[in-house]
Amino acid sequence: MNPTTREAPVTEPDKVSAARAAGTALVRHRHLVLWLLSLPVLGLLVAITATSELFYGHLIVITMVFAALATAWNIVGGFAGQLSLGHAGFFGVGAYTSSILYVDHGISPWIGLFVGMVLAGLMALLIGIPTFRLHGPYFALATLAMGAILLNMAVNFRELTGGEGGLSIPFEPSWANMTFADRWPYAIIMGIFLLICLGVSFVIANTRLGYQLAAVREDEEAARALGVNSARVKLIAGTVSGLLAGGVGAIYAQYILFINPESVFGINVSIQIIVLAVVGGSGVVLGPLIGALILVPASQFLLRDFGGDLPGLHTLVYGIVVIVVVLFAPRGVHGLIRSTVERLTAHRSRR
Amino acid sequence: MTLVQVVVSGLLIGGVYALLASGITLVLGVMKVVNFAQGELLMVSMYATLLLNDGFGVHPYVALPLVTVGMFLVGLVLHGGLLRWTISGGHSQQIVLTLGVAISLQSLALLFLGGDYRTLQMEPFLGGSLQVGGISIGTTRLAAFVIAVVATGALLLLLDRTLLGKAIRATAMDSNAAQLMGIPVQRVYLVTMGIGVALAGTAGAALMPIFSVYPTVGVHLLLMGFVVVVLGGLGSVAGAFLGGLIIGVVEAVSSYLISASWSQAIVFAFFMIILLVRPQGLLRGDVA
Repeated sequence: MNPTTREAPVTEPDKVSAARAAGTALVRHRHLVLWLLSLPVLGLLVAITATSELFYGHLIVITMVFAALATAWNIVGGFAGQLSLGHAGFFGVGAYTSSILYVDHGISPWIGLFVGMVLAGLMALLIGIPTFRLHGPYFALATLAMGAILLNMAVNFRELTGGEGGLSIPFEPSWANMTFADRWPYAIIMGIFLLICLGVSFVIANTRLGYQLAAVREDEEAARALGVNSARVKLIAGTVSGLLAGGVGAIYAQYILFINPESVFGINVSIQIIVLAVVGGSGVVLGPLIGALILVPASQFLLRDFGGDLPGLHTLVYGIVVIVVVLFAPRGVHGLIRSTVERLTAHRSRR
Repeated sequence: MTLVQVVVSGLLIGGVYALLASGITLVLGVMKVVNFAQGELLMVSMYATLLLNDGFGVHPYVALPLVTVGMFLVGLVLHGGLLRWTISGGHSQQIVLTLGVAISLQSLALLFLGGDYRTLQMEPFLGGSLQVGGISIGTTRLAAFVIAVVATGALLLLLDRTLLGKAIRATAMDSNAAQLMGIPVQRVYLVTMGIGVALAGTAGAALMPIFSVYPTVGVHLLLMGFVVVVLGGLGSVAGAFLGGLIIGVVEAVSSYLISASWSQAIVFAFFMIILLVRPQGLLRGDVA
């Protein structure tokens, strides 16, 4: 075969090739582009929060909270493929730690945020050591039980947690107290924390750890045969994930200013996190964010407009959407977008 | 209340846990699917029993066979419409699907039936309670236990003595080999799911005269069901029965000796220990 016949045609106009080059550059550096875009987007969201009515500000902050939680879950649930059903536990530990430190001991929530993250990470590590030995449904059930134990502890250690009645955080607005009358400062803090979660997730996905986790997810035996220390990589993923979820909990507590066991440790919180990640596309960095962007506003709108007359409608959406996604798009909305784009570009290149 | 009294009432309620758990364990053993909707299916059965009583004056123990058959059909629909498409998928996919069903059922119950606690109003059944050697036994609890024993016995007979049971057990052991031996594996899955959900129906109807029903009643009961399943050994119906009785007693005794609010935490701690120390459970076996 003559190799020269395989050369690309040179008759193409320069303009088209330049545009194509710019296009491929955009695709090649899409991560950089997205990261550069993230700050102006965050600025815009903060501006919207500051200027629009209360509901939209709340919508933005609460979407960020759940996007960050689902992103944190994704590190262990998606990258490592370990279906944790107890992530509300870490969220709750973060929320209760910073709140107890602030309410009972007057320690600034900024410090509480870090203490809460460390404790949640430590807890994830301690829970991970025994539970990561379990596989498949056993792991899911064990994490479910851990979440239930933490919920029960929050209910029962009344002197520390206030029991079922919950904890109210005093409303003394200042930056030092991480308490504000307006919503936009929360949008800044939560937005930055969401970017941190996405950043950590991105770094893990694109480094050695991410590849090792993917190997463990696809076939743990094979990964170990190839020299991946599966117990160690799962523990690292679990700890980082718990740490981040704890941070979200501390910020959420300062935003809502009231927490009780059911609202932060409840099994519904854990399930909601999973639903968001799976609908968006678990195992990819942006999947959980996409899931949260679609589902959280949808359910908040339904809650606002129909919450009084038709209770349950806003959660019904979660249930139905997740069923549809699992059946028709098992790789989530992200997978759907990707396969559509691939089909379109494949079609164009064929012409 | 004496400790004996507590143990007896724990045993009786343990029978219902066993019934719920045997539905989960059967589906898990045969199809390798963890059904997270089982608690909500139990909730639906409780509401069905309640509404049959409120609307048509049907006595709960008359409603029981109706609800059981109805839930068998629900199980067939659930499998044919949803689960069967994820059998080849991973555990996560199936768990998330059944979670979606659970969320939907819970939301629908809240939407159409409201969030109030509702109890079934009926004449005291056989005088309300029996006195046996100084112990008072609630007749509805005793009835629930007898129903659980009969249903479990029937299920074991079905699995052990019938051709269908043989096919189910063969599929549980090795679905590929079963397929090669000419067993219609897909149909076995369908029937298994029907039986599994029917057991939630029986448990729900038996429970309705004892417990209040509300949209999230299934969450706690499902957790208890999982504890029982793991304790009994995944896939073992006899194990689930034994596990149900043990968990019923552990819950009752710990809430008597310590406090009701701690008893749940104790049961789950017990659960974690079993998972870590003896994950195969008490009885090991491929369904039976």
